[in-house]
Amino acid sequence: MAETDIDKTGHEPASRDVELFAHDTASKRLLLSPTVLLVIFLSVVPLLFSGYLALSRFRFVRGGFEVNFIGFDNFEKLLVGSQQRRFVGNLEQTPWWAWALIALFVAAQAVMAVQAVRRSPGHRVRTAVLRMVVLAVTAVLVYVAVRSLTGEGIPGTLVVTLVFVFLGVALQYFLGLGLALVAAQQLRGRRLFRTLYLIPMIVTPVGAAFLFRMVTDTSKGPLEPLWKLAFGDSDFTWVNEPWPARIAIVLADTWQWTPFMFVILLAAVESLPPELTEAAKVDGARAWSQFWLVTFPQLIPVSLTLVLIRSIEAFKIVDLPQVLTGGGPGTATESLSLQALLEWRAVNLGGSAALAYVLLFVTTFVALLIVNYGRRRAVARFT
Amino acid sequence: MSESTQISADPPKTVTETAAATEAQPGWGRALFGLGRNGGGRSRLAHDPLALSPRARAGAYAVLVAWSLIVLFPIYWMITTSFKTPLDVNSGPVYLPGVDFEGTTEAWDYIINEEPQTTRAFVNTVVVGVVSSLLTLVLGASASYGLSRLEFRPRLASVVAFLAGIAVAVATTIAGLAWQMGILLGLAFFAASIATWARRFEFRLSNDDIAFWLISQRILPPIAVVLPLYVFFQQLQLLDTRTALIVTYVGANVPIAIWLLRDFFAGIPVHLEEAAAIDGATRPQTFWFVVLPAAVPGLVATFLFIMVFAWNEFLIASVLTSADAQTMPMLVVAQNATRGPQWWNMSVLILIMSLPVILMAGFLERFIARGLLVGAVKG
Amino acid sequence: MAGMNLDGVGKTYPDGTRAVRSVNMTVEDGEFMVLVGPSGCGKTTVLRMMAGLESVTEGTLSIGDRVVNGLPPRERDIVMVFQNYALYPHMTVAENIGFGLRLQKVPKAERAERVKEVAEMLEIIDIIDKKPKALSGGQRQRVAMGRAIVRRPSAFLMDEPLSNLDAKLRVQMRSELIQLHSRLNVTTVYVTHDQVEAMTMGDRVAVLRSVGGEGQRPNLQQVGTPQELYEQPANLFVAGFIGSPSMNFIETNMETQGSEVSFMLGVDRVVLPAGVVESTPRLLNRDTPVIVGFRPESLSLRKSHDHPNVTVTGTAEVTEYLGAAAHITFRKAVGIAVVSHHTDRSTADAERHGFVAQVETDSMPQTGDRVEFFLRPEHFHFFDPEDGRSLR
Repeated sequence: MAETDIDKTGHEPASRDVELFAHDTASKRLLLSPTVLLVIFLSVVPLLFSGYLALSRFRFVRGGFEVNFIGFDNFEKLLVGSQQRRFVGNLEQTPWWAWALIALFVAAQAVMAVQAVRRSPGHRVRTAVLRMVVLAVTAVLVYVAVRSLTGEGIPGTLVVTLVFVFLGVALQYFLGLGLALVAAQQLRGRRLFRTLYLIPMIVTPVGAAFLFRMVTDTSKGPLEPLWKLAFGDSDFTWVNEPWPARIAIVLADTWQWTPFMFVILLAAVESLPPELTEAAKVDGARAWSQFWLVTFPQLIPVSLTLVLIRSIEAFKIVDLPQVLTGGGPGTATESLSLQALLEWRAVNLGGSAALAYVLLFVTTFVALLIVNYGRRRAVARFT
Repeated sequence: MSESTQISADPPKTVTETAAATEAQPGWGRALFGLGRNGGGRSRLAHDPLALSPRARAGAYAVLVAWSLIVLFPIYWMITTSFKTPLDVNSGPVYLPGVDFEGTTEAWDYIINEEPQTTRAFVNTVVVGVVSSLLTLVLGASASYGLSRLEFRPRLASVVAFLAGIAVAVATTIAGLAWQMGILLGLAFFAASIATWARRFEFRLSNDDIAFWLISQRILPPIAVVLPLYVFFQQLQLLDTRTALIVTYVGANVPIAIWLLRDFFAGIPVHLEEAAAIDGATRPQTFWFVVLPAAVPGLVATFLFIMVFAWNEFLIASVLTSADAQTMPMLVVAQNATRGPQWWNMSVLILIMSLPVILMAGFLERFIARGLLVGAVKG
Repeated sequence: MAGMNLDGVGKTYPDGTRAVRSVNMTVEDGEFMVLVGPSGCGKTTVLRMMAGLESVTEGTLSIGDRVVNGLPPRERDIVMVFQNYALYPHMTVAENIGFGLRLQKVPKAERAERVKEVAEMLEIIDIIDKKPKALSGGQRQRVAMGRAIVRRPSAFLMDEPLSNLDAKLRVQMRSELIQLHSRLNVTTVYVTHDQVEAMTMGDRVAVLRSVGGEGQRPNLQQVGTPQELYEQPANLFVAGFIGSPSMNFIETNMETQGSEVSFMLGVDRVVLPAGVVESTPRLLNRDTPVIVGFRPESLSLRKSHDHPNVTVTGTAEVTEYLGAAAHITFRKAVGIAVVSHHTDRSTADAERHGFVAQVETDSMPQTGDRVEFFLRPEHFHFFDPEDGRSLR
């Protein structure tokens, strides 16, 4: 009966379906070109200029400004020069187990890379080169992260940003997923909950940071009696200790962005075809295996997109640390964006642009990792 | 035809119809088991084998209520703080208005009536947020609609030539030429390339490539583009104006709009537009009477989403504005920096800033999830 | 009211894919023309070209006496019913039906009147304020019809409008559509893949076939009344497509000895009576192979006493009891059923199934029995294996 007729759904759906409109050049220009031009002039062109700025020293002079090309000095300063401690961090006194961890990670990645190259049918050279680049970059990131987070190490803005992103996004995803699964049950009033849960996403991040400062304040905040019980009359405040300050920022970010994960995951869970879950129930699956074997696999594509989007946005984090801790104590909670902003305020436009480029590079790298490896693995496992 | 045969006739759907079907009718399972919101009149009764046990139900409510508290308590604290006096705040926590402190509207009074910047910043935020979001929506919707209906096959070589032209313009400008000259040179380079070498390469891009490129622009950290924009707007005498902010926000948010709207438009069956064409509609009529009404949930959700971004944006505003075009987030940070933590005033500011959007989101809640999902699932 | 004329109409997509080649066809004013063919035969594309939803890349297409090649749908005075109805989800039934009139700026009162009239005719007046979401499949189908009828067009185009309905409803709607057509008497072009629909509904039926791998073959195989298609299929494709179960084919050689023409059907020698030979002169003196076709329903277990009979023997492999008749799949000791590439069916199919007979149920053979079938020699069809054409 419902014969799928190639006439309608056949080999060239894209070009077939749009036949009515497809060759209307006027509409084409009208519909797409404003956006493309805008993006070119607001993103591509500035990015090119930034690239030049990153390689220059920028100075305001009387009646204008002056830009001198200085090559990679700005990057050099970040990586090995005067900004090294702030950007890369302090990599001292790394315990043996941290070294072991790094070695283990690199070895495991290397083995996987070799296997991947072996398995790939064509394009061996290309795969090998790509894998090597990926391996090198991840190895450097892991090396810096592990060494600066262990022993006497002090993480710089690069690692702090990574911590914010990975910790924050992971927390937000799992909280959002858990809440979505609960809220997807047939409960009365779930629309009310759904609306309530949206609120934090709408409060400005600046406001959220401020809220968190108020609520977690140890002397004037609502939890003051608890703090007193825990710490006596000592002067403990979150913002004075590096890790509590970082965790405060991650928590504020989580408070704000869990709703985003929640809303979309809930909609995804609700739009799953009930037949599969019912079939699983009929087959006698327990709640856990039902979730793990039936529900979760179907959520993987949405989840990947959500994690991707949130990671991309999280890399840009700037307002929360700015307000909540001012980047302090010291530079313990300074993100890359915040550092760049502060450099800009200090009229070091070259350094600022160099930081922006580092941020762009890391973000793109992580985004590509999520897209490629995440998707491939999901496909390999569930199809 | 008897009524009973009509009702039983819910046909399996062909591939072409599935997109419409998810919108238009409950699926088989939903209809059969009465699961969907539209899935027949059967309610979930106590003996329903799929319903939660009372214990599980209690647990679920406990989780939801607990998270509600986490969400709401800071808000509650902010609202009460806005009615506190400095003394109430500084002498340690007080919790319940009318019980352990007397509410006062001093802070509200101060912020609204005695602080001239507040009104200006609020107006700026509203204007910038609404205008930039509307513009983003118009651009994003037309681009997404175009990408879902028309076939774009630009030559890769032409695109490369165009980008090279831009690079030429940028490079000559950096080298010291006037920017007008730079643009002219860039255009000349582009035209010359199109006429010569770019013709020889046949490889073409597809709609997906264009969409991917547009969406991927969201990866750009604002800090990477805002510095040159600062210089541009300075040259154009547009620093510290709403125009500069609006333009920049449109550029920054249009990728999100396309990401969310592209699949939304793709999900509107082309058959509907064909039916409209058969019914005698012109292209604009088709768009106005058929496509737009079907896209409303997506448009609303997208509008709200990008408006939240524009409304709350901090980094770009802090670079491009200083006084006249300052938005609310700037004001909050500035207050914090200059006066120290005057919590009562800050609470009022944040409330003034957030309430309009919260109310709007509350009204539009039913659109949000549906609108976001389509883009996110397939994105 | 207007007829339609297609003159060398073809369609090539921008990517070079060819869907339609040189279709020549006339649809008379008031005629019910069915386009039928398997998936991918281009029937829907032809219909969409008539509607103006696809551009015509070759030839001319006229409606009435106007060439409409470049005209948008709204200037063609046609309506189309879509396979999935394409009802506007945000409009009520009444708004859906009245949308076309609204665009034509028909005054509100008249519009309401006409919508009501159509809704009453189609018995959907009760649901006129509902949205499509709330309707059953059959109701949606009627609304889609109503949207077409209310416009009073010069031609209806229908794209498999019944294929989304369940079997029972489909049969019912089929007869309602026929009645509707005889009442309104508007030129109708109806696309379907279902040959039963084609045969029962069409004044004339056009059988279409895909353009083939190289895109060299014209789509249109034969246009004619249902009876013509059944009794005088123009080629192997039409012969194999029309009729259910499909016609049996066997490849053999004609032998002419004096005035007697005969051929071997497996181990059975068939001598053609003079009448058949006279009507098929191309069979005479032919030393190349021919493909002989016979329909399952022209086989019988009983000898006819009024006519000359031909005997076909075989071994029953599958017997299917259908109530009014039985299908018997049988194999012959020598010679297998052939499937020419001209029928677009796979050879494996035929080898599995052998020959099929549709016979009376009173003396059904058992599986494994040796069976003798009888048929009248004038029921044979002869085809040229080279080009697949009928030799008649």
